[in-house]
Amino acid sequence: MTQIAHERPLAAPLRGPAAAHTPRSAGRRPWVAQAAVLLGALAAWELLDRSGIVSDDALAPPAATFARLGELLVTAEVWTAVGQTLTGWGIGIAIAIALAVPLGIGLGLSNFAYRSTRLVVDFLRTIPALGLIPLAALVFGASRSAVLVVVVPACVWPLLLQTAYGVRDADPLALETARSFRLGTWGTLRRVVLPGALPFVATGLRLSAILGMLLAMSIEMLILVPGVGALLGTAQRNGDTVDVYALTLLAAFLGLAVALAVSRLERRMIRWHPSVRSRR
Amino acid sequence: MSARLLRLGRHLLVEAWLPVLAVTVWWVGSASSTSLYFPPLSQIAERFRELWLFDQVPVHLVPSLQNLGWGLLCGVAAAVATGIVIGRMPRLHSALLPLMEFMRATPILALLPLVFGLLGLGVTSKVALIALGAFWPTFLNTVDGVRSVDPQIREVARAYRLTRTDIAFRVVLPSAMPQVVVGFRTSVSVAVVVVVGSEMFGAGNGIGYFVLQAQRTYAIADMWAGIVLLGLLGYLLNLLSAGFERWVLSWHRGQRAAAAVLGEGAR
Repeated sequence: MTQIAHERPLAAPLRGPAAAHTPRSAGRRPWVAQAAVLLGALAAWELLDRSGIVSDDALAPPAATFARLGELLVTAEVWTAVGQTLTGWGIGIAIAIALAVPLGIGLGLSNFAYRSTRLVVDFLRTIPALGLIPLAALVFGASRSAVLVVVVPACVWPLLLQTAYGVRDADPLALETARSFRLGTWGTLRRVVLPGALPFVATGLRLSAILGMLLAMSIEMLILVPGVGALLGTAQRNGDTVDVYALTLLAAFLGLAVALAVSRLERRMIRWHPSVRSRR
Repeated sequence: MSARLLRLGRHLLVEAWLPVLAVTVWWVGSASSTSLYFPPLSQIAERFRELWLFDQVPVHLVPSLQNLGWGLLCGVAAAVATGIVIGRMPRLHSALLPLMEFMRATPILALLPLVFGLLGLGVTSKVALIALGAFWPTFLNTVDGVRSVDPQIREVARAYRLTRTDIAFRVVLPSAMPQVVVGFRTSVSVAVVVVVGSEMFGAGNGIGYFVLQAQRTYAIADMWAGIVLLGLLGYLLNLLSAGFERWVLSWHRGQRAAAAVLGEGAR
């Protein structure tokens, strides 16, 4: 069934990057090689800087970059910006969940609704999310609302489609069992359909959360809404190369933190799922 | 025959009533709009016709599509090639894992200032960033697909003494293909976002630039026309990549079987 993923959202929540985390035959001490690779990357950066191929205006040396990042990390300004970015992102994701999960359940349960909305959903979800930035800037200016106007619609789609697909994917045998036990509509929904859909929702949540972070920072950078993105955009406009590099690293670490947090959350939800299945 | 036509008609009706209704509501509801931000749809449609059929197409649409094409081509080609190599070398894969996790978690557009600084405010930077954005989804899916090739199939290939190249192209790549293509489709949508973002950040042309510039000069109907064009573009690209997937995987038996089951289920 995973082969029909083109018509539907990602169908296999158990695969993907999370599955790649288990090193199968990674040698005895993978961290030695891993540390070597990271050091090698830093060394390459240093060498590129020293070689003088790239001008100093364009490339900051690693030592200065990390030093600047250290300086920045003890300023209140940077932590305020991190807080602003995370708040905008968090509110956006929360609204997206509140909208997408109930709607997704509805679309999953009703074949008519699923088919009627398909063209509209397909059209709306393929609008490049950043295309809405001008509209957001126009109506709301450089404010958090502008971030939300772009983040919420973009993050609704993965969640909505994954939820709808998860609900439609409900095991027919389990549904019939629920009927013979006379669980009723609500009982079936709560005890069979929704638990079965949860892994799909978790995948949708991971996709949305990562996408939301990308978009939140981009909007901050493009229309200077206060946050990490705006710091970066300002540094670029001022031509401060070391600042650009240090803040890019900060943005990368923030992205990494979000990605790790949500894939952890997702794995927790998935771990719960097979345990329920084996009890059944 | 007429029964089939009837079914087709009903199918179209079910799928199309909501889009038609939505456009009608927008059209009628905005007809007498005097709001600065939300001009009548008729006005947007007129600007759309004036701008995009086909006056501004060579100025803004063609450069965007060119960057998209080059970026996608470079990114995806690099992703499949390195994905196959790294997917078949578990140790290398494990050694690269932390670096890859870090790089792929970086919000791609946060690299805009850095890349523009390194490569200048030209086409090169944009194509490089689009390629990088397109790289990760295809790469990760390729690695995953290659790693999950059935070990038994590998052993059979070895028992038949297939050469390394034969194994790569006749065994590993075909069986990883479904996942590669799923990754490719994600790459396409990421690439479109990077195209628009890079044009908004630093450019003198392209559809992203056009839309942002229209907003800054309060040419609101132009901005809406640009957003509609972006929507159509995204939708068409999605259709194209779906078609591409079906074409590439048409040999895939599982796919055909699933399609048959689905087809019957829908009737």
